[in-house]
Amino acid sequence: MKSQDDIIKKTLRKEMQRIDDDLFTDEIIKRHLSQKVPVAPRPFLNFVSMIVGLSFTLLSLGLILLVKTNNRILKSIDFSEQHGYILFLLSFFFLIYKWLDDLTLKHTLTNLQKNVTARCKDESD
Amino acid sequence: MNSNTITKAISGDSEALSFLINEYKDIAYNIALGIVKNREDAKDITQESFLKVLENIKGFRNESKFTTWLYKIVYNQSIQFIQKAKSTNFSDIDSVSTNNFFCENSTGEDKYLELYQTIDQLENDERNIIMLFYLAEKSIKDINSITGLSNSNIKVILHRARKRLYEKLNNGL
Repeated sequence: MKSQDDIIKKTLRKEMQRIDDDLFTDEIIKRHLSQKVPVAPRPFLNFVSMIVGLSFTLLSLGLILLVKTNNRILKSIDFSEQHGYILFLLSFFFLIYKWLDDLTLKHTLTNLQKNVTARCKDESD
Repeated sequence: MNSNTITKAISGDSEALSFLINEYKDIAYNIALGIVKNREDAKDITQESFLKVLENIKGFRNESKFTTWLYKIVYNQSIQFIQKAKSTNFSDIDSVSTNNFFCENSTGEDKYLELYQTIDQLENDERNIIMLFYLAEKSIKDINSITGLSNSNIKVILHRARKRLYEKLNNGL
């Protein structure tokens, strides 16, 4: 039985069909390396930054309105309309800054991905 | 093949990846060929299977042998191809299934050609299991993992196929 099994094994090894395409392996490697690594889509603006920025913007607008209605509490702490505008501008600039920051990061990641893909292609060639 | 090659392949080493493909492409191709019975389709399936393996190689944890994993993908891809082809009726798969397919390119000088023709004429499931058992050198347990057939079923099919091959060997080779 053992020798018969060996004969079957040898026969299959000897007679098996072979892939005679020399480029078969290279083609697979090339296709594998050129497959793009999917980058998770990033939100337009970081959620926490957006909440903080918008909250302060709304708060400053609310304070400006309260000052305009001669609110006693705000008057007692010397909070003027100008303070409200300053707070409004600060929170507005914070939102702009965070938006630009996220945008730059997105571009950096895209460029990095392009560089890596190009390098992989060069190596496989 | 040692685990070092797998580790290198996981890290994206092109040489290790090439080695893995070159080492197992022919056996993978023969497994696919035994099921789909068309050289071009078998080649495409082998290529797609390797791509799938390379895509997921980072998740490979040596829980099973690399080859068992690879052949399972090849086997499943081939079965899926057959099912798809049958549902769309575009292929002549049934008409070529009983041809002496593997022996087309043989020179005829080999003294074991007759045995190979007998293997070629086996039932599909018998030939697949013979291929996995003798050519890919897989155990019953591994064949179970690759094909999804039960161990007892594999043993019965293997016994039946072996009986025919042994008879052929005893009767004249």
